[in-house]
Amino acid sequence: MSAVVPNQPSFPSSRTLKPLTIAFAGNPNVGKTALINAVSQSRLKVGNWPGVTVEKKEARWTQNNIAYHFIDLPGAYSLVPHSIEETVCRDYLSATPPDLLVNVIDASNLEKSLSLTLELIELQMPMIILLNMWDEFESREEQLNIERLAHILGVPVIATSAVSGKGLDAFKSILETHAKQAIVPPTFSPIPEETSQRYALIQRWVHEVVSREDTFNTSKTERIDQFLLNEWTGIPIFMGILFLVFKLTFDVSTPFVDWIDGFFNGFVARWAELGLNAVGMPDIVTSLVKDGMIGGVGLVITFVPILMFLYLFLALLEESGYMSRAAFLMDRFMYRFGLHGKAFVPLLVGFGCNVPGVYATRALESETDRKITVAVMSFMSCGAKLPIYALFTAVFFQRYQALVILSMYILGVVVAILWAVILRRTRFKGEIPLFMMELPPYRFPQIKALWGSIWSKTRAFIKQAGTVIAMSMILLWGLVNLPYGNPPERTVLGYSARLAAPLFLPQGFGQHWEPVAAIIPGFMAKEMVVGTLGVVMSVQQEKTKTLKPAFIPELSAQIVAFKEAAVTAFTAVFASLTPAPLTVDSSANSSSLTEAVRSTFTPLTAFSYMVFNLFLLSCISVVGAMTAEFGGRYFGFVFLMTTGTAYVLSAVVYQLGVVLGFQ
Amino acid sequence: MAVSSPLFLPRKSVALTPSPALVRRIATVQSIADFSGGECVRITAIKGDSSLCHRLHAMGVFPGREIRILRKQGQSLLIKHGHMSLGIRLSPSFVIEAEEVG
Repeated sequence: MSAVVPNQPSFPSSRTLKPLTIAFAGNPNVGKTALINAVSQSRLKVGNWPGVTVEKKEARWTQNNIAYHFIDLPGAYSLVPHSIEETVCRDYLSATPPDLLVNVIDASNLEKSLSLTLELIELQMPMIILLNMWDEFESREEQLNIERLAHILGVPVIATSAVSGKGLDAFKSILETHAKQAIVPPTFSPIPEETSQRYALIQRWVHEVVSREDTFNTSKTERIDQFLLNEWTGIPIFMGILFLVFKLTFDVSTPFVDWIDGFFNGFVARWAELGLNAVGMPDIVTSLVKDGMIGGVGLVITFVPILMFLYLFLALLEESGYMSRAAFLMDRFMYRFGLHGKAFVPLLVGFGCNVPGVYATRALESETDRKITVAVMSFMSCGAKLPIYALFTAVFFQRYQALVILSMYILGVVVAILWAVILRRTRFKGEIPLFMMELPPYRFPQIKALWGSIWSKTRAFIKQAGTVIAMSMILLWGLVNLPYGNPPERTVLGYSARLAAPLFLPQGFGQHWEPVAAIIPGFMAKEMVVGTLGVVMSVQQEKTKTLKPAFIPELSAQIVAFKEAAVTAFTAVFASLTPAPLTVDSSANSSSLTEAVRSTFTPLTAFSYMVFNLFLLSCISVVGAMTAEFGGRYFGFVFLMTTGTAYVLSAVVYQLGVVLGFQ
Repeated sequence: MAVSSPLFLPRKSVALTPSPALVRRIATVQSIADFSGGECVRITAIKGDSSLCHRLHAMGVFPGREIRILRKQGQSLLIKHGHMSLGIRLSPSFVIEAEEVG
């Protein structure tokens, strides 16, 4: 289909040598990203707009020796900003006018879209309009006179569909034409300033170009919503969907996480050690490379499968149109605690792993809502804290193990709610923002769009948080190993723990330095608490059998292990759908460690130690994610808030226990 | 004849009495949250923060607009106009007034 271009004079463009900046503006959910992906053959890259946490999507594309730089502006309903996205959109257009402004419109919802179009026309920039989702529009019994619309607005109009590819050739050809002979900015006048008059004008245009129908007809979407948003069925269905997303994410990614862990810490670390030993490197360098660097990179990569699967399921919910409905459903309850409806999903994700939880808060529009959600995220007890509960409950609370573990989760949620209320009334004082959200019609998600969303976000994580995590792991190596060759109590970690131990006397576990020594590595990753306790309590570990090095067979074994992980992940998809009892991994509970723990802790100090770990930040990866998303200053606040909560509440638990006569 | 009927009051006072049409109109105009799910209403006024009002205008919800309330749960409303569905949670400081259509 060719573009409908109104009669207009043209003049030569002087910008054919450098990339032409093409900015895509439009309402949310009109398919801008999918269009850019379709035109640029999925070259979309995700970053952040300077100074804010709004995603900046851009792509570079060349056709017939003409380079284009596509900018996907955040979805906006108006250039009079109400959200951070709209501010970014307005600031970009006013500060750096693009060579061509592409206004993407949902063809099925012309009236709503034209409000922004009118404001864009007033900017007096070269502009074209893409009537997107044309295939969806055609499926309705409506007609749209594109020629008339182009004539009225004085702007070229093309009907497009990112799904079928309709109109994309016409769009590419108009880009080429624009590169040679710039499109003249629309000169529409006079546009009334009064809002009601503007809408009267828009309504007149719509009546002129769209032959319509009774818009109050019950649509397919409404019929589905009768169940999904129903007072009785809505919440149970939502809980069921979330349970599946949550379980599938972790069940499917776990085999890959284990494989990556084994690949880096087993295969890569072993061969690096062999290589370094062969060239005569001192032990300290070998240890730094093996445990610090490779361990650090390995830790970053282990998060990739979790994030990719989580992003896949979240993108499925988002692209299908369900996410906004979930937010609408949950908002009724969440706003009572000072949280926005959309905060529910990130918080739930946080129970699995806080890192993707932090990134999932991107779905929230308001910066304040995001900050409150992230602040209480750490109180959602993540999967890495479970081994700590498993060890201590197995030693001291064997009879009530499940109940004590459950109490940890419930305590976390209660404190999170309290903090959310406190933050909303103090630091982020003000009324909870009004919930106002468009609920788009249900759509089948497009694989291209899903992949684009998954990959671009995962790449951003590796680049932004990955650097912080890897550097911190090297720092941790220094703490645990320096001065090199000394026993644990005479390393930097050992000395620091002895010095800091008296600080934890109110919590009951400050009489020994070993529990304190496990806190610092635990800050890096909660998985390391149990392991560090084993090391500092001088629990004899079984030496692993050293095999004769054989590179090719070991590499083949890794490939086989990857295949097995893929099969396990595939079967986990179905296994996730069947109910399974709550199991606690007690593999770390070797008898020597349990004995050492029994002699160092009492049931009360063990409970206090669990409470302390529950409220601490989960790991250094969360630090990386929070710093990347909100900056060091806000992270500092969250760090003080969580650490303070952990310190005070564990002391309260211990002192209360003592008063009540517990030991 | 005793002058007691209001018919004999000065004209100015008579003019202050609201017309039956206005009385009907005042009686039917109420907060959108007072209507139930499934009802079609016409927006008469949007009161509250100006930027929120502008946002609603940009979303096509403005005085004079006819909308349908699809669902109502407490202060949360799901409304529809044209092909657009909009979820809103109202607050005491942000009120949408409407009257019944037809």
